[in-house]
Amino acid sequence: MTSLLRLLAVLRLVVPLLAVAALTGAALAQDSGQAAGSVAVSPVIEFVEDDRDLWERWTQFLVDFQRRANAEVAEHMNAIESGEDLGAFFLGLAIAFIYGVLHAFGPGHGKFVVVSYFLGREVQIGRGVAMAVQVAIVHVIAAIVIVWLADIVLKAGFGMGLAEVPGVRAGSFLIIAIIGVYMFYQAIRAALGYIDPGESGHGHSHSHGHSHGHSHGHGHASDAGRLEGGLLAFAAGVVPCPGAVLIMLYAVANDMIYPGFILVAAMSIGIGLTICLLGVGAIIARKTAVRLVESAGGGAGGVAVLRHSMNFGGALVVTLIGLVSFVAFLDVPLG
Amino acid sequence: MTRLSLLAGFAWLLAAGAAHANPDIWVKSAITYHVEDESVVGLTLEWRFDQYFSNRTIRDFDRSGDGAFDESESATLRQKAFDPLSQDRFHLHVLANGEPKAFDVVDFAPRVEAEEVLVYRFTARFDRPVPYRDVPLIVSQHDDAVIFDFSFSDGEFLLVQGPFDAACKFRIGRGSGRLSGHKQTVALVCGA
Repeated sequence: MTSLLRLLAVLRLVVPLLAVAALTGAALAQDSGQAAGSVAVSPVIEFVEDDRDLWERWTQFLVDFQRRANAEVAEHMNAIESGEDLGAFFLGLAIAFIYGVLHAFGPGHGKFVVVSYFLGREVQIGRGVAMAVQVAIVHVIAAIVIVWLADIVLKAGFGMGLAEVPGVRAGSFLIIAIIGVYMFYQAIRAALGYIDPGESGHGHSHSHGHSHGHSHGHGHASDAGRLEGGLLAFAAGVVPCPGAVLIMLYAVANDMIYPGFILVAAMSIGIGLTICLLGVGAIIARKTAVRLVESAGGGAGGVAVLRHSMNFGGALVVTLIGLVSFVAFLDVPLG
Repeated sequence: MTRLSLLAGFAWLLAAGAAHANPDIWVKSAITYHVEDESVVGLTLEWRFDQYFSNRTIRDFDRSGDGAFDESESATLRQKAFDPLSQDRFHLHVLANGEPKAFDVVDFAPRVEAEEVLVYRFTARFDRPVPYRDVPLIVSQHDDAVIFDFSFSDGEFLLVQGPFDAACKFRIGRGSGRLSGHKQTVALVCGA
């Protein structure tokens, strides 16, 4: 109603005749209980009381923070480029880093692959940290390469298809599926007794307390494990974060390549930290489950069943993530 | 115990993140309801994009670099960046009497506002008018893939054009049922 009056006042100032007509129309409409007019008016708006639970508030916080951080990153990019404000530089880095941490909680960034992988592998926590670092590095490089391809080589815009460079996604999904299949192969070998179920991932497990006795054999196996983990990190990180790509594109477009690179790197380190936390969480979860079974008197047989189950479960999920994503990418019906 | 608590927190964070989102394109939107003969016949939407997407899209499609889209540039933008959104029904969810409502998108008009803000303005014209006093009408803008995040503009974000029953109002709240997970649904309510 306030807006309607404001509108009427403007009309009265500009064209007196129109104002008379509008006032007459409004009065007539009021009589018939209707808001009238060919101009848009504000209706009555009522907000339903917010009854979100803790979970929903947390996720909404993630989104709201990212909205603000997204805008802040651009502002600080300008400050970094000007080189005048050291405080803005560090604040920009901090915002980009936290933005990355929270951004990675959303879908993508290879979280489920990493978690499933580590649930199906008995490895040391350092492997989880190493893989997160690898994912972060690959994420940064991928964003820069995509932007380089788009802007410098192809000189073409991506429109809505940011980060949809043909083959990148398909390739990453295939690598994930292949690693899942390989995990299956090792889970089967462990089930048949060729290798210890706790070592199916070439993990350098010390839980049995005499690892020094196996150090030679494990040394060779760990190389394979590192290669496997590195490949998975590559597959998980090679599809760049569209948000990071947009920031890089903005930086290139505004001739702020170095600030853009620094902020995308900070963001990717944040993404890596989240993946690290989740990966390490999965490693601890597996170890805790084994200890719980042991302490509950499950015995060696119970622990072995649990380890085999987690080996197969992790392999299954990693394979499915790769295959289903690949099929969805190709838009091939499953049925 | 501490370890179990940490693990529970870890699982919760993972699940919460998976359930929600990491949008990459941020949109502030405004809706205008078009009313004719006591029915809603369509909606005009204005989407204001964040600076990254704005910058990129303007750079890609404003070939003349004059800060505006001419007819040819608008047509190209529509074809390459806007029409592909039809796969997701332009992230516009309209329920009439609880059922999805069909619409055509007409009058697409992109423009550039101050500080290089990209604006899409377009109208969703319903296949049949919705007599809003009798048929519950709910509108939501939501991207199921959560690439886009929609929130209402800071100013007047909801307008009505045409003769409108002053006894009716718009109720904004979280979605449920078919619109479960939508954070801002707009229900047109007449009466209680």
